[in-house]
Amino acid sequence: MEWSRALRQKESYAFLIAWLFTLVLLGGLGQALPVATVYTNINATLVTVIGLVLPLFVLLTTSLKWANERESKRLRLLSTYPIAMGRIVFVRYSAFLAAQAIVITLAFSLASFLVDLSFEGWLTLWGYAIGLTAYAAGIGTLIGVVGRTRLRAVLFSFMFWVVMILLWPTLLVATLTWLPYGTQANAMVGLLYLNGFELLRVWVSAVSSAPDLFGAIYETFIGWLSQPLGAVSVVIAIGSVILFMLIGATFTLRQEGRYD
Amino acid sequence: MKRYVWIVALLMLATPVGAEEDMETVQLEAPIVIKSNETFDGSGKRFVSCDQAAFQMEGTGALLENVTIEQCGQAEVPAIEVTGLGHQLIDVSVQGAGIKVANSYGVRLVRPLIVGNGRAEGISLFDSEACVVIGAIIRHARDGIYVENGSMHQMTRPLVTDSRYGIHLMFPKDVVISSPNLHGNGAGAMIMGTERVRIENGQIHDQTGATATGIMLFEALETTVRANAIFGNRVGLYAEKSDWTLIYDNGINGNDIGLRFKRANEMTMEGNDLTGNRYPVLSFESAHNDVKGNDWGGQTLDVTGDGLSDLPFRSDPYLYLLADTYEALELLYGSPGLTVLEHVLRSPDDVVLTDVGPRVETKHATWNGSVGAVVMSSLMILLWGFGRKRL
Repeated sequence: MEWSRALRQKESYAFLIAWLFTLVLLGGLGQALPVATVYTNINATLVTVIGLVLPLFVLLTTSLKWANERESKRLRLLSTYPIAMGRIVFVRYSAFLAAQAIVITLAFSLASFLVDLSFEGWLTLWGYAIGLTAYAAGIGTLIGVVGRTRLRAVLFSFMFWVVMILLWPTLLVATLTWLPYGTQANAMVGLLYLNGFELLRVWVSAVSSAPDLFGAIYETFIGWLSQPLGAVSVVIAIGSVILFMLIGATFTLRQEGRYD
Repeated sequence: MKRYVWIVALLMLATPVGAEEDMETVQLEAPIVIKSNETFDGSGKRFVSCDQAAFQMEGTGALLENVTIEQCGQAEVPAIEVTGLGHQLIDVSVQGAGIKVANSYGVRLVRPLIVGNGRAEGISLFDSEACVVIGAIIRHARDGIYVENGSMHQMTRPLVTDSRYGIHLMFPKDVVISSPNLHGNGAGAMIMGTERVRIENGQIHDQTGATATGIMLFEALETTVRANAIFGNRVGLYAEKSDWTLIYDNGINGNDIGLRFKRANEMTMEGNDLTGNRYPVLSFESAHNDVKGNDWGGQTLDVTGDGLSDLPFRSDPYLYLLADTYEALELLYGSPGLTVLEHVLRSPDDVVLTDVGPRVETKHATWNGSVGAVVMSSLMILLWGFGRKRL
């Protein structure tokens, strides 16, 4: 039922159209580019644009959805059913993710008719988009639940996006330079695992390019990240954050349900 | 039986007689001196020399051909020493300290093959004029071709690998290097203190080492770099204190830094393809450069339809400058936040190079459909339709 609701919503069609425009226009712009490595401009442009736009879309959509549920008191109604709150949260989350996966896969396969990219290239970008969606949807769920109203959900989501995407480099530049020089690279890697958006971006770059993309200092780390063990570490890091967010949302809803 | 005899006979006929015959080795105690108008054909012999040159050419119009020279591993004296006018060296092969041409005019080296010892130059031209080097193949030398002073030299199709510098020019004038293939060296071409050097139609790629550079210009005036493929280097083209350089129609791709300029003024850059480099260009204290019609792979907008973008390209070395001070920040390369930041925070003009009309690639939508894409699209549409139904 949740899946059906997610696919019936007009946002799904809007997402599909937005995806198609992004992929075809940007993918088309970056074509006809022979370079030495497989890391083409198409990949680089799409990774940058997807990494910038997709988290905002998904954060806003999921947080608004949950805030709307809370504002309209639908959650209170649902809590009268003999269903665990954790299950409601998980089903909603997985339904949204499944619907988005269909939309993204459809958009990618339609865009592949016009954009010349290798199968591995498409697969990497697809994995990146799904990873970002899953991560942002998990965070958006908690933001929507904590925000309670739609206005606050939008504000919190936007603030989160600004800090984690737009201001992240500035924050790192401002803070990391205070650390001893020898520890800065290690600190960067540690902080990378704190920001899933950046972690996914670096991972997708590591998979699709030469290990020296981020300079000699990260050559070993990027080489390791592109191996299966590196991918597992990314999945664990992203998965645990999602789990933590969903548990947090469930806990918040349960706590507040007691006083309703 | 008769059939087998025929087969054996045919096999014997097919085997070239003497194909595996050893060359006669000639141990030289003193150099062989070739004087004016003399010809020396060294076919079938291998000349071995250690502490002195194997051949010395003097006078006018001498010819040395089909010579194979082996030197001891520690040899530092060139295998062939040339002075004079209009000499020719054809199909000369040297294993050791290479060929030295000094105070000469119009010397021609045709198809020299040099396997160096890593300490001496492959071919060196000192204070000479109008020398021609055609089809040289050089590997493991200190500098593949070293030129000091002189003028009017021509090098055609030199192939230099595994050396410090592929071609090293120190102060000559009016040198033309056509179709060079320079790879696996510390620097492809090091051009210093020169005037009017021209490098064209070259393949200059995959240099090695921390400073791996395709072409380095230092105090080189009026250099022309045209129609070269420069790729896979740390720096594609580096120019410092070099004025009036003309860089056009080159493909400079897949380098860490495509172009790096420092106090390089009055340059003209046009029609170059600079896509696919980590940093397309870094420019410091360079001014009065005429930059137009290059492909940078950035945002373009051609309103007038002249093939040139109406949005100028402005190189901003924001991240490079950051990473130059704090190497750890390299991990921010390609970060969406940084991309936005680069457009918000503009670097000072003295570290920026602006292309007033970058080249616009004409894009044609091409059909890339495949059975897999059709199947996947159909499957997703079906899944979507099925998912919409209320159960």
